[in-house]
Amino acid sequence: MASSLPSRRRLVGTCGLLIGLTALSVALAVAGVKGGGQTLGLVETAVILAAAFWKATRILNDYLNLRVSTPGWRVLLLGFLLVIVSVVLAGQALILADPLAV
Amino acid sequence: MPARDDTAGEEADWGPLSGLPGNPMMWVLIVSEVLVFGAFFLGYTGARVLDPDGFAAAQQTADRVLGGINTIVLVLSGLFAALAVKAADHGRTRAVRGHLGAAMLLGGGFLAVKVVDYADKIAAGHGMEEHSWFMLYYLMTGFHALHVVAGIGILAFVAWQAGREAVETGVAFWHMVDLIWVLIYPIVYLIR
Repeated sequence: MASSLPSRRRLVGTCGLLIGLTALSVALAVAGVKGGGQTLGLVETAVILAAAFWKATRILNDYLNLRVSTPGWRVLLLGFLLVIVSVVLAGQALILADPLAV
Repeated sequence: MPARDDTAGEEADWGPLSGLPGNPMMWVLIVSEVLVFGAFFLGYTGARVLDPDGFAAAQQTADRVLGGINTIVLVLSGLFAALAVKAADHGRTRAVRGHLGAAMLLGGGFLAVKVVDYADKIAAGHGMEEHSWFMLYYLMTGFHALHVVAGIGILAFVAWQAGREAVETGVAFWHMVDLIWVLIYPIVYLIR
């Protein structure tokens, strides 16, 4: 299955992307605290979670080489990760909806 | 491509698992671990919604920079692990061991940063009993750190074996550890 492995260039590119998305997430988390309070805004939270989902996708597809697998496995694993980040985002929306929490 | 059963020397029928790269048994473990940590994340979110102020106060002690450094350390180690699989595919044993050695070294770096992180909290008197955030923090990151320790052991074992399937299987475990961390970091450290 030699040809099914990602190229060295793709792997290095994936690593660079993962580092870049991590730096973006830290910057947003530090700058995105809402109104001088302690709670992160919903937009910043959504971007951070989208970055985490993208990172997880690249790890699964490139590092773990799931892209050579069947579509069913990709849908199953990525779908579960999507459920997790969606629930976390919904939790943040609930917290922000309570003005006492901000 | 059907999975190969080396003990029988024949192609084994793993059913739907045959569609996955590497040894199918490792994917059983990966899926199980993703489900376990998924339950942690959902439980954590539920607890946070019930006590947002308590979580926000406790999360002030979470060191985002150390967590970010550890994320970068782990994704770099993941790169070296993936390159080890490519080297194994070409039968380059020395390169396999070199790449896996770098991945293990970075894994050790991750654990060292984690020790500093824990030591800071313990020195400041933040124990598990202080708040449910601390309990979940120690539980989730500690359980993950144990996986890093196990992963370093697995990488050492497959570096000694250096065969394509052994390396691909061991490295798959390492990437699973990486995958879990890229979710722990934003959920526990960043989102407040």
